[in-house]
Amino acid sequence: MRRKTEDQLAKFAFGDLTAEEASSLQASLQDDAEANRTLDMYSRMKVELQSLCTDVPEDQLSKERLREAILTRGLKEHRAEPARPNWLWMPAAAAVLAFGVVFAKGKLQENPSTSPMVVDNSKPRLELPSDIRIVRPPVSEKVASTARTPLIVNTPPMTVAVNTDRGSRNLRSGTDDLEDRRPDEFSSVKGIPRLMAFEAPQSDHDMALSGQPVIFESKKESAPSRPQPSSLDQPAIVVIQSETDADTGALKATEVRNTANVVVGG
Amino acid sequence: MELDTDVALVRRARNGDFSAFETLFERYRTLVFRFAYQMVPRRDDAEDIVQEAFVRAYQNLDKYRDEAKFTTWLLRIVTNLCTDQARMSNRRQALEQQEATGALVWMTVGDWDDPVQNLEADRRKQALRRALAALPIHHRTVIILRDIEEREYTDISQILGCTIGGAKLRVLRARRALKDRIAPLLGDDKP
Repeated sequence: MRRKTEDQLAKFAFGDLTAEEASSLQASLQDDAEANRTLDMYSRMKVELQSLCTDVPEDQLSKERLREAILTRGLKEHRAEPARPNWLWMPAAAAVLAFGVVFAKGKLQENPSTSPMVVDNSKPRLELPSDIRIVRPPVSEKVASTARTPLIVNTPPMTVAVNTDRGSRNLRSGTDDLEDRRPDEFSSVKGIPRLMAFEAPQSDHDMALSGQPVIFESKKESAPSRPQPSSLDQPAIVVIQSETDADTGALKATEVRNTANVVVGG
Repeated sequence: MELDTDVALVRRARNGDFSAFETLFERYRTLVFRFAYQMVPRRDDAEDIVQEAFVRAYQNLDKYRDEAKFTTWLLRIVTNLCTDQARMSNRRQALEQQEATGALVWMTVGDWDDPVQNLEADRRKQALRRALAALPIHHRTVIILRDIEEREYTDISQILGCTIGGAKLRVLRARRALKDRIAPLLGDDKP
């Protein structure tokens, strides 16, 4: 049977044909047994399908159940729809944004001090010492051979060599020393955290047990030496020095020394 | 404007009047449950779908446009939920297939009040349900909408999001597919 004929039969069985189409189809089906069988099949299918409509049990839904579902789950999932952009305001917003960018750029050019990239050379800067010698206090054999104990760290004073325009001087981390400095000098170093460093001792804890700090000193007269080999492969502290690049004139950092087993704190 | 029309109730519900939404729920829950039960012939699943449909309807009341009928919009939500369930729940599909072969018939909640007297009718109904359940979800949807729920092609096209001609074509294809399946089950496929 042709598919078109079958479709016509289905339409006829389910009442989708007009009266004229139905009568013409009936006339053409009188001697076609297969078509009659198909039509009967569709007609029975329609009746059976309609009988399913009544074959539905009572539901057990309730308003309370719905209210609970909305309250417990629905409201949590519900999010207010974000405000859609009004395209009429977009040109105005773009103009305001462009004006703001131009205005801010002009401001930066007028006042270079506000630019974070400008370096103020008038103020003294904290320069990292060109050479730092780690002074290890003598450790007694008794302390060195002491059994391993938890590391106890005190906060001893730290001395860092600072080169300023008035010459090299030592800066200690105590605030009393900082207060003696000029305000511009103080402002240049107050961001430095309190630093206490121990050189990697022969025993892991002998320095901590001894309670004596390692003092960083500026040692210009001595040649820089390679850092002491650390017990760890990766150095924990790297001291860098700023240098001016010969080609570009920009500042660059050069590693001066690194060390491990250093406790930083305050 | 009357206060109990669907549009008025929806507007009241949008403004926070939950009793208006409860009125809509009471008005259409049977219709929605009947459709869901035909789509997912297990009562608990159908109830879950109906509840989920009303929750989503409440959450998305602001998206409902008054030019469409509320029932059409609601049935579209149910159709999407049933389609999601049919596509995403492989385990449930396996169970439904077991049920279609009769292994879990005892779990099916249906009209079992008088199975002896209506044995033949019940056999045909079960065969039809099995065939319907075995249909692809898009065929099942249009068969239920058109031939069981007897909805107009205009509504069907809005529910399915297609043209009226497209809805008619889908119905035709679905009937053909159902006939091919139901004929051997009813034993009437002899030439």
